[in-house]
This record gives sequence, structure tokens and C-alpha cells, in this order.
Amino acid sequence: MASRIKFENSCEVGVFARLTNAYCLVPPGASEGFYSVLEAELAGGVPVVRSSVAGTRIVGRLCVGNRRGLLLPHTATDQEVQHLRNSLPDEVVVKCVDERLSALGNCIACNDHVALTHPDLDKETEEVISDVLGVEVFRQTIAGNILVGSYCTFTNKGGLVHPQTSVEDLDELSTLLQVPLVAGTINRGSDVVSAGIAVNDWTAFCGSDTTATEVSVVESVFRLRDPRPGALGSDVKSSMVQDFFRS
Amino acid sequence: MAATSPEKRPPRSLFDLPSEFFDSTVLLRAHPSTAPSAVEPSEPSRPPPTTQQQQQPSEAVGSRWTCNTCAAEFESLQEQREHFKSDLHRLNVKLSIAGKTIIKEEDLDKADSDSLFDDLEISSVSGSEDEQENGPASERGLSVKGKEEFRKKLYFRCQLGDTISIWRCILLKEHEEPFIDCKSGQMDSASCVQEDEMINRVKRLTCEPRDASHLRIVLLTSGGHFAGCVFDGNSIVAHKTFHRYVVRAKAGKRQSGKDATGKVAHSAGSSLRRYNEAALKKEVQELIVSWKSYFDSCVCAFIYAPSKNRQMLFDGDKTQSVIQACDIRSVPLTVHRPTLKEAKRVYSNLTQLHYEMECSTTDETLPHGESVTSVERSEGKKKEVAVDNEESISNLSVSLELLNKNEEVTIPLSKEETTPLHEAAKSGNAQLTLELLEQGLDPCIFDARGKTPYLLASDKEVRNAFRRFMALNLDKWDWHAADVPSALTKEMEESQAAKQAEKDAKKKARAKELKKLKKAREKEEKEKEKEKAKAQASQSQTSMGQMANRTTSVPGLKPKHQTPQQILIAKEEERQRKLAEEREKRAAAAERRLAALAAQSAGTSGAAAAAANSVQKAAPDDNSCSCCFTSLAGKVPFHRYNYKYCSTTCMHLHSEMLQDD
Repeated sequence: MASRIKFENSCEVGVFARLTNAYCLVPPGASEGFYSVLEAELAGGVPVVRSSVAGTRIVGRLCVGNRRGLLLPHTATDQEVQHLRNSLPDEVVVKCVDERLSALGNCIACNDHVALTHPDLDKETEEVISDVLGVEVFRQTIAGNILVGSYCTFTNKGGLVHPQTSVEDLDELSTLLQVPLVAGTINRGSDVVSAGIAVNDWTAFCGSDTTATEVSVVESVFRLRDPRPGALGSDVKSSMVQDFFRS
Repeated sequence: MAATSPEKRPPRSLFDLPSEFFDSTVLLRAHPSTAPSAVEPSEPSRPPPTTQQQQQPSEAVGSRWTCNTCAAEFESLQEQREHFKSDLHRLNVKLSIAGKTIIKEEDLDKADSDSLFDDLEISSVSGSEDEQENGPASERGLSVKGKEEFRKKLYFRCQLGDTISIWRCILLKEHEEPFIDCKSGQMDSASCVQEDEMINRVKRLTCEPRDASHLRIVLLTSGGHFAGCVFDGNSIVAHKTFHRYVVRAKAGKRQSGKDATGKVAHSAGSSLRRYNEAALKKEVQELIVSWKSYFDSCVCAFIYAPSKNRQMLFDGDKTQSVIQACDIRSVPLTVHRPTLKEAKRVYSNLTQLHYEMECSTTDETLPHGESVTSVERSEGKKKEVAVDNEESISNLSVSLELLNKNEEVTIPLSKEETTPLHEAAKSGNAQLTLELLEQGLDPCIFDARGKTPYLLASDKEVRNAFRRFMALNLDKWDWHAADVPSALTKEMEESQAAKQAEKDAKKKARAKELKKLKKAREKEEKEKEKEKAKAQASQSQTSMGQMANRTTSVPGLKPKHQTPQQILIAKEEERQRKLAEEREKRAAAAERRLAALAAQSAGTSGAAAAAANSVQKAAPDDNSCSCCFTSLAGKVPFHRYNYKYCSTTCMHLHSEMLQDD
């Protein structure tokens, strides 16, 4: 299910939250309403961790991660790193990246298997990404934008990309990433799709400006409509088991 | 420098040379020209080290195995994915973002060799932006260049007449000196390497067997980064890099350094760094021990470990014995952040043979043309000419310096029409301008903007220099064309000076007069002021008299003011007004009290009805309640029609009474 929420009168929830299959990162000091919606929806499936990154609240834009790890920019303070190491599940590796482009969330888009990155990222950063997140890294642009992390978001089930992505690019990307992709908008026509949505394999949180059409697109492409018996969808569980055996 | 050779040959790796390459080569004393060939080589193109990744077992969603950016199609998903990780793809993405045409795979090698990427302002394919900021390759090269580099390199002249250079550390051990650099006193010492021996070593280099018996190891470490790489010829045998968070970003300094000062920080970060430093050291030492076999069979190890990093390598007993068993040499290059790529760059650079430029192009511009030819002559005569050779080189450098100096003055020669005279005039150097004019430079030449030197002159002194020169040499140039308006002869100058002196004198006189006038005026003004003050004083005295007359009529006011101070008068008046007000208030209060007393006495003596009648008749008193006749003094009355009441109950009562009536 996709829910519509707001972060302190801002609809850009993807900016203020980083949601993965293993954890959810939110900034501290927001209204309890925001936290309670997240916690109720995620319902013990994944921990909701409150931490700033580099002293800011735009955690969704500054860091990037999946169920295996979390990458923080070099601007993150030691205390934050330590706090995150303590509060995230043990199997999640937390690592700082020495990268000039410090808004990692804007430069990297990833799921548990593949990552798209900004073409200017360091080779070393690329290595760190593939080591820590356990993904294959591809340098690509989305509809001519180098900020792939801002203009696309994808999970293991599906993905949403910039509305002006050409059909050829869409096909190519979905072949490359091995997930179905749809070009669409969020927050009543915003093309910065990643900023307006925080999504993992079974939940999505859109900004409250998102229209019903946009929500239905999100639900269909991220396959959120499947009825789920427990906190995790049955298919998710099976895929996680599969992943477990594979890795 | 003018010396840019038209045909610049790319450097070659020592290990790729044919074995007879160094036959009949001659070691040169030093570089034949002071103008070194441009640059460190552009990064050699390196095949992307992509390893085979296991393909994900999921089925293709669509099957569009293409890359739209590079306009390429692929056979399989794996191929496509490999392409997306390649440097070519990355380069093409960058190019397409910059709005430039993409490069095909076939063209990549070509493009690499003529350093297309520099033209496109894109760093070497696999380089990061970070390194690009360190300056373009040529600049980096230049920083190493200079006199320093001549000591770090060995120069040979080979068979075909080319001058080539090799890094000294490839051939010589740290303590060894080439024969020619040895002082005469040390001639017999063992650390001197004879020329034949050197040539032999070079020759041996080219025919080394590539069977892992002649390894070279590169160890780079600094700032928490470590890169180690074992090379066999041009191929990599083993490599390993480490990175640990050791140095606090932007703050520099290692934690151990900080701890050593006695102030031990207890922050989370400091403990992280402390731990990481120890961990890095351990990892590196374990690695070195595990590489013992490589170290045993290596020819030499190039180590770059500035300051404390050296401890990391040599601290442990085991590692020390391992490393020191082999021949350690330092890296004569600038080393950037230690990574595998950097290690490769350093190694490839060290093992390259550079073609040095001949200075024949500079030759023509030099007054001492023979200096270079003497170098060439020296080939045949070898040692005997060595001293002479050195001389000629010093000659050459001197002449080059001269040329440089000349160029400083005549920089703009290349700009066609701007002469030194223009420059001198523009800079406001009158002395130089005059000298140049005396040397016979044409003042009529227009510069690129169509201006003569005279028009460019920035101050009067320079213009006067032109005019003076014109006065002396009226016929030499067409002064009209030079835009110099008139000559400035000595007589004119003298007369001008006289005029000026006269003017000055006049000015002085006028200034004096003005001063006098001013003084006089000031005096007058002072006098006037005094008079005024006197008049005022008398006036105020009279007025005070009047005031005193007036104030005597007011009681309680003492007419003791004899001085005519207006402020005092005002104060007095104010006081008077206050007193009057107070008196009036007191009178009103007394009246009110009297009235209240009267009303009370009336209320108590007369009956209620009589009182009511009296109220009706005698119309309610102003200051008493219309119902109960209590005094309203000091109260806020309630109004109804024309009546006043002390309270609302009175008001209701009275209204009922009136209705009854």
C-alpha cells in the first residue's frame, strides 16, 4: 500500500526519509504524526531510526543504502556514524564515503542488486558502493540528467523514472536493471520522483500532494497491491529467502 | 620557450624495447638542452579491468541490449552490463552531457594517444575529478621539472642520434652515483658506476626474462591509503590496496600524532581513527609478510611513504627484515593518493623511456650557436670533452637567461605591432622611453589598436620625454604621424619653469593677502560680537526690571532676580502657573466639601418626602445623587436624563418614583 504523508508541511518525503528493506532513516525532531505513520505502516518489519546526517535533516538526499549497507557522505559526523552503527541492524554495514559529491542520495539510485550512479563519481566510490551495498554499479544518466538518484527510484520490484525518459532509454534501463520501469511523476506533477517518494519492496510513502492517478501508478509499478498476510508480504519473504541462499 | 618540437614522440616502456636498442648508446653528462621535452606521458590507455561478474539469474524484462548513449548493441545482458561499467561508456556519458559527439570503441585508442581528452577538458578516462583538480598532466610534469629533474634522470644518446632519458632510480641504487657525477676524490670508491656498467645495466633491462624472476614492487602509502603492486615487466603479478579512516577530514594530522602531544581526545571519532590506524598498520604488515616470496625475487622496491608512514612499513621485525632484504628506492615523482591506479601510473612512468627534445630549434635564436654543437661533438670524444661539455651547457644556460631577459622587454614581439616603445610608454617609464627613443625605435608605429606610443603614454613625464626627444631630433621621424603635438625645447622648458615660478609666487602672494583679509574679517566679527553682547546685556537688564515690577504683584514670589537670565524668568513663570493651578484645585475641593456638608445636614433634618419634593423643586444639585442626595464628590456618577446617581439602585428607585408621579 502507498500512503500519503507530509513532513512538516513539505511533501518531499523522499528528501527527509531513506527507506530500505532493512531500515528506515528519518531525521530527528519532526512531528510525532510523521513518525507514527511510518512506524504504524512499517509495523516492526523494519526499524525506524532517527538520526541526522551531517547535522542536517535531509537524510534521504545525503545517504544511500539497501538492505546490506548504508553509505554516508564524508560530511557525516563521527557521532552520527556511531549512532547509526548502534541503532541499525547488525548485518547492515555503515560506511563513510570519501567522495567530493556529498549528496549521495542525489548521485546514486540502488536496490539490493544494482545501482545507477552519477557519471562523475570516483572509481573508489564505485568500488565502495559495490562492496558495501553488494550491487553492480552502472554509470548512467536519466533523460539527460546526471543526478540519477534524484530522477529515478527503484526497488527490487519496479521503478519510477523521470517523466521525460524516452521509451528506448526506459527499455534499456529496465533491461539493465532487470526491473520493470515506468516514467511518471509524483506530488502532482513533480519530476523529481525520488524526492517525493520513499519506497521499499512492500511499502511506499508519497508526498501528500500526490494525486490518485500517481498513487495508482506507484502502487502498480512497485507491486504494492498484493495482499499481505503478515508484516512482510509472502512474496517478499520468499525473495528474501532466495537472496539469503544465493548470497 | 620557443623550443617545441614538431614531432614529439610518445615515451616507450623500457620492457617493450628491442634487445639491441641500447647498442652503442652513450651516456650524456646532463640534458643537452635546458628546455626539457614537454611532459610526463599522458596516461597510457589501460584495458578496463572488469572481471567476469556472475549474471543474475532473473529473466530479462525486456530484451533491449543496447546503450543509447554510445549507440551500441550487445549480444547479451552480460555484455551490456560490462559495457555500462566500462570507461568508454563513462567517457561517452560525459561527452554527451557536454553536448559533444561520442567516441566509438574503435577510435578510443587513437583518441587516447593524441590526448584527445585534454582537448575536451576531460580527465583521463579512468581518472576522477579529484585528480583533475590537481592540474593537467603537463603542469604536473612541470612541477617535477627544473634542475631537480636533471639529477633524477640519466640521459643517453642512442645509435640513431636520439636523446633519451631514463629515471635514475631504475638503474642505480640509492647510494650509487653515476661515474660522471662522482667527485675526483671519490673516483675509486665503490659507489661510482662506470659508464660501461650503466650501459650494460640498461641493456640487461631490455632482455630480462619475464618469468617472475625480475619483479619490481611499488609500495605507496599516505593519509590512510595504502597501495601495493608487484610488477613483472609491464604486467601486474599481485596488487592490494587498503584504505582506513585515519586522518580527520580537512583537519589533517593523524590521531597518533595528536595523542603523542599528550592531549588524548576521547571522542568517538578519535577512537575510530586510533583503531583504524592500528588496523591499517596490521593489515599492511601482514600483507608484506605474505608477499615475502615476491620481495625475495624482486630487483628493487619503489617505496613512497612520507614521514610517519615509513614507520608503518618498517616497525615490525618481520616486515623490516622482508623489506630491507631487497633494494629499496624512493619514488622521484609526485605521488597522489595511493590507489592501484596511482601505483600503475608511477610504475609505468618510472619504467618509461622518454625521448628528449633537441634544442636545435632554440639554436637559431641563440647568439652562442656553438654551445649545442659542442654537445654533439662530445659524442665522439666522450670523457675528454666532458668538462668542455659542461662549460658549453653553462654557456647555453647563460645565453638562455639573456634571451629570457630580452624577452621580458620585448615580450610583445609576437604581437606583431606592439613595440617595446609602446610598452615603455604605457608603463609610464620615462627613462626607458627616452632610452628606447635614443636607440632609434620608431615612435610612428601603430599598435594593434592603431595608437602610437605617444598616445599610450600614461603620464606627463613620458609625454614630455617624447617631446624633448622631438625637440632634439625634429627631422628624424615624422612627428606628426607619431601624434606628438609639439617639441619641448630647453628654452621652452625654462620659460615654462619661469612662468610656473611666477605663477607660484603670485599664488603665494594671493594666499597671503587672503590670509590677511581673513584675519581682519575675523577681528571685525569679534568686535561686532562683543558689541552685540553688550547691547544684549543692557536690553535684558531693562527687561528684567520690567519683569521684576510685574512679579512683585504676585504673592509668594521673591523679586530677588537681579541677573537678566531669561531661563530663570521662564522657570519663575512656570512655578507661578503651578501655584495658581494648585490654588484653584484647593478652592474647588473646599467648595465641594461645603456642599456635601450642606446636603448631609439637609438629608438628616428633613423627612424623605420633603426631601423628594425639595429635589423636584430645587432641581438636583450638581454634586449630589438625585435619589439619596449623598455627595458625589470623588465618585463617578451614573447619568440618566439630567439626573446623577451614586449607584444603580438609586437610579432604579428614582426612576420608579418618577413613574409613580
